Amino acid sequence: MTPPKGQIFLERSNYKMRRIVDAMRILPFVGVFLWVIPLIWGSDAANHTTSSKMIYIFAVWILLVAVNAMLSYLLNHANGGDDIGPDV
Amino acid sequence: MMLNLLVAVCVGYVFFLFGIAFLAERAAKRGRGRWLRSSFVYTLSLSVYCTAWTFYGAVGYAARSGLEYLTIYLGPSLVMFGWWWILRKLVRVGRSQRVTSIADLLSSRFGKSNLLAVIVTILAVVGTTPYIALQLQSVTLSFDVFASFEDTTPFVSDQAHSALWLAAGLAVFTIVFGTRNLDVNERHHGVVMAIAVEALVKLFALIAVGAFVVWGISGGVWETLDRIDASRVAELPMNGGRWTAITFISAAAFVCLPRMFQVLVVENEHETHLRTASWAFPAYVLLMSLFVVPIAVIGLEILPVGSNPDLFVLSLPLHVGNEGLAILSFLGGFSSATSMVIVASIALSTMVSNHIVMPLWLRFGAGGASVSGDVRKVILFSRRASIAAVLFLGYSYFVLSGGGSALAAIGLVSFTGVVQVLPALLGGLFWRGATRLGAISGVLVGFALWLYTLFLPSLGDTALFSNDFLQAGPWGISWLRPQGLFGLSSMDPLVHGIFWSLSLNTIGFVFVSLVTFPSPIERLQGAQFVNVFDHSSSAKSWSGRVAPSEDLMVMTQRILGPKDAQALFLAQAQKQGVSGYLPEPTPEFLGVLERELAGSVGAATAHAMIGQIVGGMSVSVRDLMAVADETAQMMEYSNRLEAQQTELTRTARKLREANEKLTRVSLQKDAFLSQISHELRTPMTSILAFAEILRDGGAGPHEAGTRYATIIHEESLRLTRLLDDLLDLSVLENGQVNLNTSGVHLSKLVKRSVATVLAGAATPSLHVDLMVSESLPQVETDADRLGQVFINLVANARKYCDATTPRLKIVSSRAGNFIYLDFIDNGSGVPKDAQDMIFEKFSRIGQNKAGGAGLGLAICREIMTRLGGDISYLPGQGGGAFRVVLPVELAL
Repeated sequence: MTPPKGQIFLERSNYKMRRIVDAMRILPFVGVFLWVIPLIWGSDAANHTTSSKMIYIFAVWILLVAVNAMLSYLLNHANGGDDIGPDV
Repeated sequence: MMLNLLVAVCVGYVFFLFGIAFLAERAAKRGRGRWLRSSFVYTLSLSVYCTAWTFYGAVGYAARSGLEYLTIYLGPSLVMFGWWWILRKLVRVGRSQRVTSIADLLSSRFGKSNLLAVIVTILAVVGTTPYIALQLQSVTLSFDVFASFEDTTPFVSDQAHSALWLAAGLAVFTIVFGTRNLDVNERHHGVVMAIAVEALVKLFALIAVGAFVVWGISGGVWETLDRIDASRVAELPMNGGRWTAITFISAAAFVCLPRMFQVLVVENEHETHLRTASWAFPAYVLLMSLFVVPIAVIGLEILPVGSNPDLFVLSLPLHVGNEGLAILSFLGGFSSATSMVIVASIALSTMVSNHIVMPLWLRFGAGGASVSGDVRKVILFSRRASIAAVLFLGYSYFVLSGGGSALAAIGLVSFTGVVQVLPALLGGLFWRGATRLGAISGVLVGFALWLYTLFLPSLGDTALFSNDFLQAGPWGISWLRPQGLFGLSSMDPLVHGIFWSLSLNTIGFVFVSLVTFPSPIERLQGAQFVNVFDHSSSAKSWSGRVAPSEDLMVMTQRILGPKDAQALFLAQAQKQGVSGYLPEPTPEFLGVLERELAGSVGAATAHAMIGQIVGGMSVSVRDLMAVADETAQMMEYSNRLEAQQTELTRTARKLREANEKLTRVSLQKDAFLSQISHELRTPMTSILAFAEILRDGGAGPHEAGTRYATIIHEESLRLTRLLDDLLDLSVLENGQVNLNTSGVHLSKLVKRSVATVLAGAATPSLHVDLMVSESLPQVETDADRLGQVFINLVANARKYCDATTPRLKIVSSRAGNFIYLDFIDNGSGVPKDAQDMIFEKFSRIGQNKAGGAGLGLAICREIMTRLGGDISYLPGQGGGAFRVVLPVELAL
């Protein structure tokens, strides 16, 4: 369950697990950031064709799926991921 | 010809779905369906998000607005990537609170407010009905596409007709698999399995069409990309405002849509499934959207101008003559439509039935609200009726709206409507200060603005919202125009509606929450929701078939006692055909057990206990309140019993005392009678004997006769005295005595009494020391009666004092309102064991110096009681000692 309050140092595995969770938490913000970029390109059609935008968006998508799948895998194999405690 | 084939395929597909759902239900019932609830099935079931509107409509959307269609998928993908933030908490709360719908979640967060649940339910019905109509429309439209490619007049060309058939078929399926039984957790294995299969069908269909377009028609990936850049789709600008707004609204809708909430939270089997879905679902929608732009571009290029881009997925394969692919594509669209309608109607019917129909039935329906078997029947019936009603609403909407393009625009509008619960939902999950009134006002404000700015205008040129009205605003007030509130008229109407409804919704929610004070149950629930990770264990499977039977046995034994519990378990195990004492925890067995336990501990308690063991869910506040209610009732009942018991005990004791008294009185009476007859008999015997001698003349000389007559006379006197005494006692005891009170000088009275006693004797046989104070106050009392007592006491001392020189000491003293007169002689006194008997009638000590009948002291005590005083034996004075107590004032 929840580690006792005031516990400063965690075991190595626990520590690693928390960082995996941190990465998972950051991921949607990374996604928002990367997907906003095509909007900044604007309608500068010469440099950024619709197909290139499409490829970019799908590439980000695939990247995010892959990273998330990897993190899930790590989390599953770390400790079942159940002992992480509440959101802090 | 082809339409007949199409109908046959449809019917066959529906039967296939029935089969899948049936097999899944059966496997789940036998506890073998672990694979049924794998994380991939969960992920696929989330695909109800992709409805016919996205299956067909995404292509149309891309043809009209370019890449913007992607936002519909990017939003949910972001939510899934960020599952750790919101979905994880939502699922945990849903599990620990046994939530059945989004309305239920909000109502239980905000203190079980049924008003809030009703509002959310109405909002959901209003927001979802057009969407269901949209699904019916898409299926009928796809029939039309086939019809237009065939010259013959099809028998299903009547749109309303085919939509009716479709709605009826879906209603049957949903009722059969959605309300087969009442699961505590509202989970439907058959339906979920069917949805997962449909997810595969629609994905496969869309990919097949896409691959056919890219490689079959266009000639490869690069050629397709070139064509995209060359088409007019490429010229469509990206509108940043719409892009952001729609991504946001679709992300929010992914959580708030009733059907999504149903599959995401209610049907969730295990929290870890969410982890898999967090990447698998984005991958699924990625594949769903991959070929949308190529299909749109090629469709625009090769199909005749004026073709409906919403149906390119169908018309493209038909146009190039690939009928097999067209039928597959039709099945994909059909799957999308049916899965959405099924899940949405289950979710809506749960809400309508739980929050609107059941409360009404319980209030106005027959009988009390005690939960028993027949209420379950009512719930099932109301579920089924609600499903039929929801589908009929969708059908009516479809018919009334005419199925035109107005309907196609409703998708995002519908999303925005449902999303109005988002502030309350997030606030409820993360902010303990959120209150019921805040949630209600937020949702109502958002709902009203959504109706005004989006929903009513989307219906087109109607009587209420005419085009003039939209242009000029109500009463010509331009800043109240539905699509230009407060002067924001340059905005895109959709973004405008989203902006105003959600921002004012949030402001209302936060402001009212800040100024209102929540009720205790709201605060409890708030803490439970916000801090759900602090006090709920994770990762326990919901199905919980691991082996709770033994735990159940332990618990049941504690409640019912080992003998009954074992008998119950044995009988149930035998019924299931299992040997031993541990039956499988089937729903039937749990039902029986719950009823048994409810008989002992109350229904709510039994439910909570079994839920705790079998469901692995934590006990909610609602459970605790119910348990507390029950306990209070029981305590009240047992208190009442206890009071009755106390009263009975008291009565019994009184009866026993009365009985003892009666027995004692009866004994006393017997003793008295035998005593009195003895006392009368003794003198009588001598009188008789001497009277006989006199009568027979055997008396001899005269003086002998005189002596006998004297004896007879004395004995007669004794009898008379005895009878006088008895009469006296009886008068005193019956309280019939009249007291002649007057002022009495005690010292004088005592002197007179002593003189009276000693007068008869020739030589004074008793020496009396009078130590009665002359200064004693006058006493209001009956001098004759009191004198009788004194005489008696002095006479007793004279008769019974066994000292060689008998002395009697009479001492007076005063304490408060009482005067004590002690008569102390120097004899041996009264033996200790006789001290409490001497005041009884006929009690005489020893047989020495026979004299009185033993009534003297009894009479004394009666007199003293009448006079308001007392007489008692005073032990420890070196001889016989009696104390007479007199009140200074006679209280009669």
